[in-house]
Amino acid sequence: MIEICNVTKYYKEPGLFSGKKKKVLDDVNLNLDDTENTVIIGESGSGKSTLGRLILGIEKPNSGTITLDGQSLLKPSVRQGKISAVFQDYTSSINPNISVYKAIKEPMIMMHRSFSEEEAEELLVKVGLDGSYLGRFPHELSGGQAQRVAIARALSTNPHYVLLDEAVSSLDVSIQVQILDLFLKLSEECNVNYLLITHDIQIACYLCSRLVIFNSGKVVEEIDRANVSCLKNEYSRNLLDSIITI
Amino acid sequence: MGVSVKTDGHYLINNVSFKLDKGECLGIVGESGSGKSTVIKGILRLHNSKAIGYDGEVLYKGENLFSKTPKEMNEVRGKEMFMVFQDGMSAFDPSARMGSVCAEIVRTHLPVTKSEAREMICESMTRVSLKDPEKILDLYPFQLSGGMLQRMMISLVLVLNPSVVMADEPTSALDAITQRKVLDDFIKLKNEHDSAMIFISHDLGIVKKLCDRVMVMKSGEVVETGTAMEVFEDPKHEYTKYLIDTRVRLSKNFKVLMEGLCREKAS
Repeated sequence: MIEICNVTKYYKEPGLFSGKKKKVLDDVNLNLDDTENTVIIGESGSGKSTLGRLILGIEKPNSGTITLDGQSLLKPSVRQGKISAVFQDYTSSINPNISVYKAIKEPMIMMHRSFSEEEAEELLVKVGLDGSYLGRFPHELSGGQAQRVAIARALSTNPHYVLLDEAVSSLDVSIQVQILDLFLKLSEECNVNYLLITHDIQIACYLCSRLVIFNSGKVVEEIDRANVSCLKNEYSRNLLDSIITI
Repeated sequence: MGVSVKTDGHYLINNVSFKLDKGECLGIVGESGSGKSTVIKGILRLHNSKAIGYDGEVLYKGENLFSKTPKEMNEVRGKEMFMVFQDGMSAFDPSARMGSVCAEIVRTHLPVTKSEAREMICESMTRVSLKDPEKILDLYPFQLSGGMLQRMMISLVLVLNPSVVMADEPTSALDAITQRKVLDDFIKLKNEHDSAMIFISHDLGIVKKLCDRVMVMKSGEVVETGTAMEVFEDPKHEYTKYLIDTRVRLSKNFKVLMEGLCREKAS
Protein backbone atom coordinates (compact mmCIF):
# COMPACT_ATOMS: atom_id res chain seq x y z
CA MET A 1 0.00 0.00 0.00
CA ILE A 2 1.23 3.48 -0.87
CA GLU A 3 0.36 6.04 1.77
CA ILE A 4 0.55 9.72 1.04
CA CYS A 5 0.42 11.79 4.24
CA ASN A 6 0.05 15.58 4.40
CA VAL A 7 2.16 16.09 1.30
CA THR A 8 2.82 19.68 0.25
CA LYS A 9 4.94 20.73 -2.70
CA TYR A 10 6.05 24.15 -3.85
CA TYR A 11 7.61 25.24 -7.12
CA LYS A 12 9.57 28.42 -7.54
CA GLU A 13 7.82 30.95 -9.70
CA PRO A 14 9.60 31.88 -12.93
CA GLY A 15 12.14 34.71 -12.76
CA LEU A 16 15.70 34.64 -11.46
CA PHE A 17 15.14 36.75 -8.34
CA SER A 18 11.40 36.44 -7.93
CA GLY A 19 11.72 34.25 -4.81
CA LYS A 20 7.98 33.62 -4.94
CA LYS A 21 6.69 30.13 -4.45
CA LYS A 22 3.68 28.47 -5.96
CA LYS A 23 1.88 25.78 -4.03
CA VAL A 24 1.13 22.89 -6.40
CA LEU A 25 0.17 20.28 -3.83
CA ASP A 26 -1.65 21.39 -0.73
CA ASP A 27 -1.78 18.94 2.18
CA VAL A 28 -2.66 15.85 0.14
CA ASN A 29 -3.71 12.69 1.96
CA LEU A 30 -4.32 9.57 -0.08
CA ASN A 31 -4.06 5.82 0.37
CA LEU A 32 -3.46 3.64 -2.67
CA ASP A 33 -4.67 0.14 -2.04
CA ASP A 34 -3.08 -2.83 -3.75
CA THR A 35 -6.45 -4.37 -4.54
CA GLU A 36 -7.93 -1.83 -6.92
CA ASN A 37 -6.88 0.52 -9.68
CA THR A 38 -6.99 4.16 -8.75
CA VAL A 39 -7.19 7.16 -11.00
CA ILE A 40 -6.31 10.74 -10.30
CA ILE A 41 -8.41 13.08 -12.45
CA GLY A 42 -7.59 16.75 -12.80
CA GLU A 43 -7.23 19.59 -15.24
CA SER A 44 -3.89 20.82 -16.47
CA GLY A 45 -2.07 22.58 -13.67
CA SER A 46 -4.00 20.81 -10.93
CA GLY A 47 -0.86 19.10 -9.63
CA LYS A 48 -1.72 15.56 -10.67
CA SER A 49 1.52 14.89 -12.54
CA THR A 50 3.55 16.41 -9.70
CA LEU A 51 2.00 13.88 -7.36
CA GLY A 52 2.98 11.18 -9.84
CA ARG A 53 6.58 12.38 -9.87
CA LEU A 54 6.66 12.40 -6.07
CA ILE A 55 5.43 8.82 -5.97
CA LEU A 56 8.12 7.80 -8.46
CA GLY A 57 10.75 9.52 -6.30
CA ILE A 58 11.81 11.83 -9.13
CA GLU A 59 11.09 14.78 -6.84
CA LYS A 60 10.94 15.25 -3.08
CA PRO A 61 7.95 16.72 -1.25
CA ASN A 62 8.54 19.95 0.74
CA SER A 63 6.68 18.47 3.66
CA GLY A 64 4.80 15.28 4.42
CA THR A 65 5.71 11.67 3.74
CA ILE A 66 5.06 9.07 1.08
CA THR A 67 5.53 5.47 2.15
CA LEU A 68 5.35 2.11 0.41
CA ASP A 69 4.35 -0.64 2.86
CA GLY A 70 5.53 1.54 5.73
CA GLN A 71 8.95 2.47 4.27
CA SER A 72 9.77 5.90 2.93
CA LEU A 73 9.76 6.08 -0.85
CA LEU A 74 12.68 8.50 -0.84
CA LYS A 75 15.09 5.56 -0.50
CA PRO A 76 15.82 4.19 -3.97
CA SER A 77 16.07 0.62 -2.65
CA VAL A 78 12.46 0.78 -1.46
CA ARG A 79 10.95 1.85 -4.75
CA GLN A 80 13.29 0.24 -7.29
CA GLY A 81 11.57 -2.46 -9.27
CA LYS A 82 8.34 -2.10 -7.33
CA ILE A 83 6.93 1.02 -8.95
CA SER A 84 7.36 1.67 -12.64
CA ALA A 85 5.85 4.15 -15.02
CA VAL A 86 4.47 4.63 -18.52
CA PHE A 87 4.35 8.21 -19.78
CA GLN A 88 2.30 10.04 -22.35
CA ASP A 89 4.92 10.85 -24.94
CA TYR A 90 5.90 7.57 -26.53
CA THR A 91 8.44 9.15 -28.85
CA SER A 92 10.57 10.56 -26.06
CA SER A 93 10.07 7.91 -23.38
CA ILE A 94 12.25 5.38 -25.20
CA ASN A 95 15.87 6.21 -26.00
CA PRO A 96 15.97 6.56 -29.81
CA ASN A 97 19.53 5.18 -29.99
CA ILE A 98 18.85 1.73 -28.59
CA SER A 99 16.88 -1.25 -29.85
CA VAL A 100 13.63 -2.45 -28.32
CA TYR A 101 15.43 -5.33 -26.59
CA LYS A 102 17.91 -3.00 -24.92
CA ALA A 103 15.11 -0.62 -23.94
CA ILE A 104 13.20 -3.41 -22.22
CA LYS A 105 16.41 -4.64 -20.55
CA GLU A 106 17.35 -1.19 -19.22
CA PRO A 107 15.52 -1.28 -15.88
CA MET A 108 16.95 -4.74 -15.13
CA ILE A 109 20.50 -3.51 -15.82
CA MET A 110 19.89 -0.65 -13.40
CA MET A 111 19.01 -3.25 -10.77
CA HIS A 112 22.09 -5.40 -11.66
CA ARG A 113 20.01 -8.32 -12.80
CA SER A 114 20.26 -10.35 -15.99
CA PHE A 115 17.55 -10.41 -18.62
CA SER A 116 17.66 -12.79 -21.57
CA GLU A 117 16.21 -12.30 -25.04
CA GLU A 118 13.71 -15.09 -24.37
CA GLU A 119 12.33 -13.25 -21.37
CA ALA A 120 12.09 -10.06 -23.39
CA GLU A 121 10.26 -11.92 -26.17
CA GLU A 122 7.84 -13.39 -23.64
CA LEU A 123 7.06 -9.88 -22.39
CA LEU A 124 6.54 -8.60 -25.91
CA VAL A 125 4.06 -11.40 -26.61
CA LYS A 126 2.22 -10.46 -23.42
CA VAL A 127 1.77 -6.88 -24.64
CA GLY A 128 0.55 -8.04 -28.05
CA LEU A 129 3.78 -7.79 -30.09
CA ASP A 130 6.22 -10.55 -31.05
CA GLY A 131 9.91 -11.44 -31.07
CA SER A 132 10.53 -9.74 -34.41
CA TYR A 133 10.31 -6.36 -32.66
CA LEU A 134 13.38 -7.02 -30.47
CA GLY A 135 15.86 -5.67 -33.00
CA ARG A 136 13.80 -2.69 -34.08
CA PHE A 137 14.45 0.90 -33.16
CA PRO A 138 11.86 3.32 -31.71
CA HIS A 139 11.46 5.30 -34.96
CA GLU A 140 10.29 2.14 -36.72
CA LEU A 141 7.31 1.79 -34.38
CA SER A 142 3.86 3.38 -34.58
CA GLY A 143 2.44 5.24 -31.57
CA GLY A 144 0.47 2.26 -30.30
CA GLN A 145 3.44 -0.12 -30.78
CA ALA A 146 5.84 2.26 -29.02
CA GLN A 147 3.42 2.52 -26.11
CA ARG A 148 3.27 -1.30 -25.95
CA VAL A 149 7.06 -1.44 -25.79
CA ALA A 150 6.99 1.12 -22.97
CA ILE A 151 4.47 -1.07 -21.15
CA ALA A 152 6.67 -4.15 -21.62
CA ARG A 153 9.59 -2.22 -20.18
CA ALA A 154 7.52 -1.09 -17.22
CA LEU A 155 6.54 -4.68 -16.51
CA SER A 156 10.05 -6.16 -16.86
CA THR A 157 10.85 -5.77 -13.16
CA ASN A 158 7.59 -7.38 -12.00
CA PRO A 159 6.35 -4.25 -10.24
CA HIS A 160 3.46 -4.04 -7.78
CA TYR A 161 2.40 -0.68 -9.09
CA VAL A 162 2.52 0.88 -12.52
CA LEU A 163 2.00 4.61 -12.74
CA LEU A 164 0.34 5.62 -16.01
CA ASP A 165 0.79 9.33 -16.57
CA GLU A 166 -1.66 10.15 -19.41
CA ALA A 167 -0.41 6.91 -20.95
CA VAL A 168 -3.12 6.67 -23.61
CA SER A 169 -4.05 10.33 -24.09
CA SER A 170 -2.16 10.94 -27.31
CA LEU A 171 -3.46 7.84 -29.10
CA ASP A 172 -6.51 7.47 -31.33
CA VAL A 173 -9.69 6.39 -29.57
CA SER A 174 -9.68 2.89 -31.11
CA ILE A 175 -6.04 2.34 -30.10
CA GLN A 176 -6.86 3.75 -26.66
CA VAL A 177 -9.46 1.03 -26.15
CA GLN A 178 -6.98 -1.65 -27.29
CA ILE A 179 -4.29 -0.43 -24.89
CA LEU A 180 -6.78 -0.08 -22.00
CA ASP A 181 -7.98 -3.66 -22.63
CA LEU A 182 -4.32 -4.72 -22.56
CA PHE A 183 -3.90 -2.97 -19.20
CA LEU A 184 -6.92 -4.81 -17.80
CA LYS A 185 -5.59 -8.16 -19.08
CA LEU A 186 -2.10 -7.55 -17.70
CA SER A 187 -3.49 -6.47 -14.36
CA GLU A 188 -4.80 -10.02 -13.86
CA GLU A 189 -1.89 -11.87 -15.50
CA CYS A 190 0.96 -10.02 -13.82
CA ASN A 191 -0.82 -9.00 -10.64
CA VAL A 192 -0.11 -5.29 -10.94
CA ASN A 193 -2.16 -2.32 -9.85
CA TYR A 194 -2.42 0.87 -11.78
CA LEU A 195 -2.30 4.40 -10.67
CA LEU A 196 -3.64 6.29 -13.64
CA ILE A 197 -3.21 10.04 -14.00
CA THR A 198 -5.48 11.55 -16.62
CA HIS A 199 -7.78 14.41 -17.53
CA ASP A 200 -10.14 12.12 -19.44
CA ILE A 201 -12.90 10.82 -17.20
CA GLN A 202 -14.18 8.27 -19.68
CA ILE A 203 -10.77 6.60 -19.83
CA ALA A 204 -10.59 6.81 -16.05
CA CYS A 205 -13.88 4.99 -15.62
CA TYR A 206 -12.91 2.34 -18.16
CA LEU A 207 -9.82 1.25 -16.27
CA CYS A 208 -10.27 2.16 -12.64
CA SER A 209 -12.81 1.53 -9.92
CA ARG A 210 -11.70 4.29 -7.60
CA LEU A 211 -11.71 7.88 -8.83
CA VAL A 212 -9.93 10.71 -7.09
CA ILE A 213 -10.70 14.18 -8.40
CA PHE A 214 -7.99 16.78 -8.00
CA ASN A 215 -8.38 20.53 -8.24
CA SER A 216 -5.67 23.15 -7.62
CA GLY A 217 -3.48 20.82 -5.61
CA LYS A 218 -6.21 19.39 -3.41
CA VAL A 219 -8.24 16.21 -3.40
CA VAL A 220 -11.81 17.44 -3.79
CA GLU A 221 -13.71 14.21 -4.32
CA GLU A 222 -13.24 10.45 -3.99
CA ILE A 223 -15.69 8.25 -5.84
CA ASP A 224 -16.01 4.51 -5.58
CA ARG A 225 -17.53 3.23 -8.81
CA ALA A 226 -19.13 0.23 -7.15
CA ASN A 227 -20.69 2.33 -4.44
CA VAL A 228 -21.76 5.65 -5.86
CA SER A 229 -22.76 8.32 -3.42
CA CYS A 230 -23.71 11.96 -3.91
CA LEU A 231 -21.03 14.31 -5.12
CA LYS A 232 -20.02 16.70 -2.38
CA ASN A 233 -18.06 19.18 -4.39
CA GLU A 234 -19.33 21.82 -6.80
CA TYR A 235 -16.24 21.52 -9.03
CA SER A 236 -16.51 17.75 -9.50
CA ARG A 237 -20.21 18.06 -10.27
CA ASN A 238 -19.39 20.63 -12.94
CA LEU A 239 -16.64 18.44 -14.31
CA LEU A 240 -18.81 15.34 -14.66
CA ASP A 241 -21.68 17.33 -16.17
CA SER A 242 -19.44 18.81 -18.85
CA ILE A 243 -18.58 15.45 -20.41
CA ILE A 244 -20.18 14.74 -23.76
CA THR A 245 -20.88 11.14 -24.70
CA ILE A 246 -22.46 9.73 -27.81
CA MET B 1 -16.06 20.20 -54.66
CA GLY B 2 -13.19 17.80 -55.23
CA VAL B 3 -9.74 18.08 -53.72
CA SER B 4 -6.70 15.98 -54.28
CA VAL B 5 -3.35 16.79 -52.79
CA LYS B 6 -0.19 15.14 -53.96
CA THR B 7 3.47 15.00 -53.10
CA ASP B 8 5.83 13.32 -55.55
CA GLY B 9 2.80 11.94 -57.37
CA HIS B 10 1.66 10.24 -54.15
CA TYR B 11 -1.86 11.28 -53.17
CA LEU B 12 -2.37 12.32 -49.57
CA ILE B 13 -6.09 12.68 -50.02
CA ASN B 14 -7.87 11.28 -52.96
CA ASN B 15 -11.16 12.05 -54.65
CA VAL B 16 -12.73 13.91 -51.75
CA SER B 17 -15.96 15.60 -52.78
CA PHE B 18 -18.52 17.37 -50.69
CA LYS B 19 -20.93 20.25 -50.83
CA LEU B 20 -21.45 22.78 -48.07
CA ASP B 21 -24.62 24.87 -48.08
CA LYS B 22 -25.11 28.24 -46.48
CA GLY B 23 -25.67 27.96 -42.73
CA GLU B 24 -24.82 24.29 -42.66
CA CYS B 25 -22.37 22.64 -40.29
CA LEU B 26 -20.31 19.75 -41.64
CA GLY B 27 -18.31 17.60 -39.24
CA ILE B 28 -15.25 15.73 -40.49
CA VAL B 29 -14.25 12.79 -38.31
CA GLY B 30 -11.48 10.23 -38.61
CA GLU B 31 -8.39 9.02 -36.83
CA SER B 32 -5.05 10.78 -36.92
CA GLY B 33 -3.48 10.64 -40.37
CA SER B 34 -6.81 10.23 -42.14
CA GLY B 35 -6.45 13.56 -43.95
CA LYS B 36 -9.05 15.64 -42.12
CA SER B 37 -6.83 18.69 -41.72
CA THR B 38 -5.35 18.28 -45.19
CA VAL B 39 -8.80 18.79 -46.67
CA ILE B 40 -9.42 22.20 -45.13
CA LYS B 41 -5.85 23.33 -45.51
CA GLY B 42 -6.22 22.31 -49.15
CA ILE B 43 -9.36 24.40 -49.55
CA LEU B 44 -7.54 27.48 -48.22
CA ARG B 45 -4.35 26.51 -50.09
CA LEU B 46 -2.29 26.79 -46.94
CA HIS B 47 0.23 24.12 -47.97
CA ASN B 48 3.63 24.94 -49.37
CA SER B 49 2.89 25.11 -53.07
CA LYS B 50 6.36 23.81 -54.02
CA ALA B 51 5.93 20.59 -52.06
CA ILE B 52 2.26 19.91 -52.39
CA GLY B 53 0.09 20.25 -55.46
CA TYR B 54 -3.63 20.10 -55.95
CA ASP B 55 -5.92 18.43 -58.44
CA GLY B 56 -9.63 18.96 -58.89
CA GLU B 57 -11.47 22.11 -57.99
CA VAL B 58 -12.95 23.95 -55.02
CA LEU B 59 -15.94 25.99 -56.08
CA TYR B 60 -16.85 28.88 -53.82
CA LYS B 61 -19.74 31.06 -54.98
CA GLY B 62 -19.14 29.68 -58.46
CA GLU B 63 -15.43 30.54 -58.57
CA ASN B 64 -12.64 27.98 -58.51
CA LEU B 65 -10.29 28.72 -55.60
CA PHE B 66 -7.49 26.67 -57.17
CA SER B 67 -7.28 29.02 -60.15
CA LYS B 68 -7.01 32.19 -58.04
CA THR B 69 -3.71 34.05 -57.70
CA PRO B 70 -2.03 34.13 -54.27
CA LYS B 71 -3.12 37.76 -53.84
CA GLU B 72 -6.75 36.96 -54.59
CA MET B 73 -6.50 34.00 -52.20
CA ASN B 74 -5.40 36.34 -49.39
CA GLU B 75 -8.67 38.22 -49.79
CA VAL B 76 -10.63 34.99 -49.48
CA ARG B 77 -8.78 33.92 -46.33
CA GLY B 78 -10.09 35.68 -43.25
CA LYS B 79 -12.94 37.68 -44.75
CA GLU B 80 -14.70 34.90 -46.66
CA MET B 81 -13.28 31.81 -44.99
CA PHE B 82 -11.98 31.95 -41.44
CA MET B 83 -9.93 29.21 -39.85
CA VAL B 84 -9.92 28.43 -36.12
CA PHE B 85 -6.85 26.44 -35.16
CA GLN B 86 -6.32 23.85 -32.44
CA ASP B 87 -3.42 25.62 -30.83
CA GLY B 88 -4.41 29.17 -29.89
CA MET B 89 -0.96 29.83 -28.53
CA SER B 90 0.69 29.63 -31.95
CA ALA B 91 -2.19 31.19 -33.87
CA PHE B 92 -1.53 34.69 -32.50
CA ASP B 93 1.67 36.69 -32.81
CA PRO B 94 3.50 36.04 -29.49
CA SER B 95 5.39 39.34 -29.54
CA ALA B 96 2.39 41.69 -29.73
CA ARG B 97 -0.47 42.47 -27.39
CA MET B 98 -3.80 40.82 -28.19
CA GLY B 99 -5.40 44.18 -28.93
CA SER B 100 -2.98 45.19 -31.65
CA VAL B 101 -2.92 41.72 -33.28
CA CYS B 102 -6.69 41.50 -33.39
CA ALA B 103 -7.13 45.09 -34.58
CA GLU B 104 -4.66 44.39 -37.36
CA ILE B 105 -6.57 41.30 -38.45
CA VAL B 106 -9.86 43.22 -38.48
CA ARG B 107 -8.35 46.23 -40.30
CA THR B 108 -6.88 43.97 -43.00
CA HIS B 109 -10.38 42.97 -43.98
CA LEU B 110 -12.66 45.85 -42.96
CA PRO B 111 -12.25 49.58 -43.66
CA VAL B 112 -12.26 50.78 -40.04
CA THR B 113 -9.93 52.78 -37.79
CA LYS B 114 -7.89 51.24 -34.98
CA SER B 115 -10.20 52.40 -32.21
CA GLU B 116 -13.31 51.26 -34.10
CA ALA B 117 -11.73 47.85 -34.62
CA ARG B 118 -10.93 47.64 -30.92
CA GLU B 119 -14.50 48.55 -30.02
CA MET B 120 -15.90 45.91 -32.36
CA ILE B 121 -13.64 43.26 -30.84
CA CYS B 122 -14.60 44.27 -27.29
CA GLU B 123 -18.26 44.02 -28.18
CA SER B 124 -17.93 40.54 -29.67
CA MET B 125 -15.73 39.37 -26.78
CA THR B 126 -18.54 40.04 -24.33
CA ARG B 127 -20.77 37.90 -26.53
CA VAL B 128 -18.49 34.86 -26.04
CA SER B 129 -18.52 35.58 -22.29
CA LEU B 130 -14.98 36.89 -22.01
CA LYS B 131 -15.08 39.21 -19.03
CA ASP B 132 -13.13 42.47 -18.93
CA PRO B 133 -12.30 42.65 -22.67
CA GLU B 134 -10.20 45.84 -22.38
CA LYS B 135 -7.90 44.18 -19.88
CA ILE B 136 -7.51 41.02 -21.99
CA LEU B 137 -6.63 43.07 -25.08
CA ASP B 138 -3.69 44.57 -23.18
CA LEU B 139 -2.19 41.14 -22.48
CA TYR B 140 0.17 39.00 -24.54
CA PRO B 141 -0.97 35.62 -25.91
CA PHE B 142 1.14 33.65 -23.42
CA GLN B 143 -0.68 35.35 -20.54
CA LEU B 144 -4.02 33.94 -21.67
CA SER B 145 -5.26 30.41 -21.13
CA GLY B 146 -5.97 28.03 -24.01
CA GLY B 147 -9.72 28.45 -23.61
CA MET B 148 -9.47 32.25 -23.67
CA LEU B 149 -7.36 32.19 -26.85
CA GLN B 150 -9.85 29.87 -28.48
CA ARG B 151 -12.67 32.27 -27.56
CA MET B 152 -10.64 35.20 -28.89
CA MET B 153 -10.62 33.43 -32.25
CA ILE B 154 -14.37 32.89 -32.07
CA SER B 155 -14.89 36.58 -31.28
CA LEU B 156 -12.84 37.44 -34.38
CA VAL B 157 -15.25 35.24 -36.35
CA LEU B 158 -18.12 37.31 -34.96
CA VAL B 159 -16.46 40.56 -36.05
CA LEU B 160 -15.41 39.49 -39.54
CA ASN B 161 -18.62 37.54 -40.18
CA PRO B 162 -17.11 35.18 -42.77
CA SER B 163 -19.25 32.97 -45.01
CA VAL B 164 -17.37 29.82 -44.02
CA VAL B 165 -15.79 29.03 -40.66
CA MET B 166 -13.31 26.18 -40.61
CA ALA B 167 -12.38 24.80 -37.21
CA ASP B 168 -9.55 22.29 -36.90
CA GLU B 169 -9.85 20.44 -33.58
CA PRO B 170 -10.63 23.69 -31.73
CA THR B 171 -11.57 21.97 -28.47
CA SER B 172 -9.07 19.11 -28.35
CA ALA B 173 -6.35 20.84 -26.36
CA LEU B 174 -8.72 22.13 -23.67
CA ASP B 175 -9.79 20.86 -20.27
CA ALA B 176 -13.19 19.24 -19.97
CA ILE B 177 -15.02 22.19 -18.44
CA THR B 178 -13.47 24.74 -20.81
CA GLN B 179 -14.11 22.38 -23.72
CA ARG B 180 -17.79 22.41 -22.88
CA LYS B 181 -17.88 26.21 -22.68
CA VAL B 182 -16.09 26.64 -26.01
CA LEU B 183 -18.41 24.09 -27.60
CA ASP B 184 -21.39 26.08 -26.30
CA ASP B 185 -19.88 29.17 -27.95
CA PHE B 186 -19.65 27.27 -31.23
CA ILE B 187 -23.27 26.18 -30.93
CA LYS B 188 -24.25 29.80 -30.29
CA LEU B 189 -22.19 30.91 -33.28
CA LYS B 190 -23.91 28.34 -35.47
CA ASN B 191 -27.41 29.31 -34.32
CA GLU B 192 -27.00 33.09 -34.42
CA HIS B 193 -24.92 33.43 -37.58
CA ASP B 194 -25.66 32.20 -41.05
CA SER B 195 -22.05 31.21 -41.72
CA ALA B 196 -21.43 27.70 -42.90
CA MET B 197 -19.06 25.69 -40.74
CA ILE B 198 -16.60 22.85 -41.25
CA PHE B 199 -15.76 21.32 -37.90
CA ILE B 200 -12.94 18.80 -37.62
CA SER B 201 -12.72 16.64 -34.56
CA HIS B 202 -11.75 13.16 -33.52
CA ASP B 203 -14.30 13.41 -30.70
CA LEU B 204 -17.50 11.88 -32.01
CA GLY B 205 -19.52 13.15 -29.04
CA ILE B 206 -18.81 16.78 -29.89
CA VAL B 207 -19.50 16.28 -33.60
CA LYS B 208 -22.81 14.61 -32.84
CA LYS B 209 -23.85 17.53 -30.65
CA LEU B 210 -22.83 20.29 -33.05
CA CYS B 211 -22.98 19.17 -36.66
CA ASP B 212 -25.83 18.72 -39.14
CA ARG B 213 -23.91 16.49 -41.51
CA VAL B 214 -20.94 14.20 -40.92
CA MET B 215 -18.20 13.02 -43.24
CA VAL B 216 -16.06 10.07 -42.12
CA MET B 217 -12.53 9.85 -43.50
CA LYS B 218 -10.01 7.03 -43.52
CA SER B 219 -6.50 7.15 -45.00
CA GLY B 220 -7.25 10.06 -47.32
CA GLU B 221 -10.61 8.87 -48.57
CA VAL B 222 -14.20 9.55 -47.62
CA VAL B 223 -15.85 6.35 -46.45
CA GLU B 224 -19.25 7.70 -45.46
CA THR B 225 -21.26 10.92 -45.60
CA GLY B 226 -24.71 11.56 -44.22
CA THR B 227 -26.73 13.56 -41.77
CA ALA B 228 -25.51 13.30 -38.18
CA MET B 229 -28.61 11.27 -37.27
CA GLU B 230 -28.04 8.77 -40.10
CA VAL B 231 -24.34 8.29 -39.45
CA PHE B 232 -24.57 7.91 -35.68
CA GLU B 233 -27.82 5.95 -35.46
CA ASP B 234 -27.40 3.74 -38.51
CA PRO B 235 -23.79 3.67 -39.77
CA LYS B 236 -23.40 1.97 -43.15
CA HIS B 237 -19.66 1.53 -43.50
CA GLU B 238 -17.68 -0.99 -41.42
CA TYR B 239 -15.13 1.63 -40.42
CA THR B 240 -17.78 4.05 -39.14
CA LYS B 241 -19.35 1.23 -37.14
CA TYR B 242 -15.95 0.41 -35.69
CA LEU B 243 -15.28 4.05 -34.71
CA ILE B 244 -18.66 4.42 -33.05
CA ASP B 245 -18.44 1.04 -31.29
CA THR B 246 -15.05 1.80 -29.72
CA ARG B 247 -16.32 5.18 -28.58
CA VAL B 248 -19.44 3.63 -27.02
CA ARG B 249 -17.33 0.95 -25.32
CA LEU B 250 -14.98 3.55 -23.90
CA SER B 251 -17.78 5.58 -22.35
CA LYS B 252 -19.77 2.55 -21.10
CA ASN B 253 -18.46 2.62 -17.53
CA PHE B 254 -18.75 6.38 -17.37
CA LYS B 255 -22.41 6.23 -18.33
CA VAL B 256 -23.06 3.64 -15.60
CA LEU B 257 -21.39 5.96 -13.10
CA MET B 258 -23.46 8.95 -14.23
CA GLU B 259 -26.68 6.93 -14.04
CA GLY B 260 -25.72 5.94 -10.49
CA LEU B 261 -25.15 9.59 -9.62
CA CYS B 262 -28.49 10.60 -11.14
CA ARG B 263 -30.32 7.94 -9.15
CA GLU B 264 -28.59 9.07 -6.00
CA LYS B 265 -29.59 12.66 -6.68
CA ALA B 266 -33.22 11.66 -7.30
CA SER B 267 -33.48 9.68 -4.11
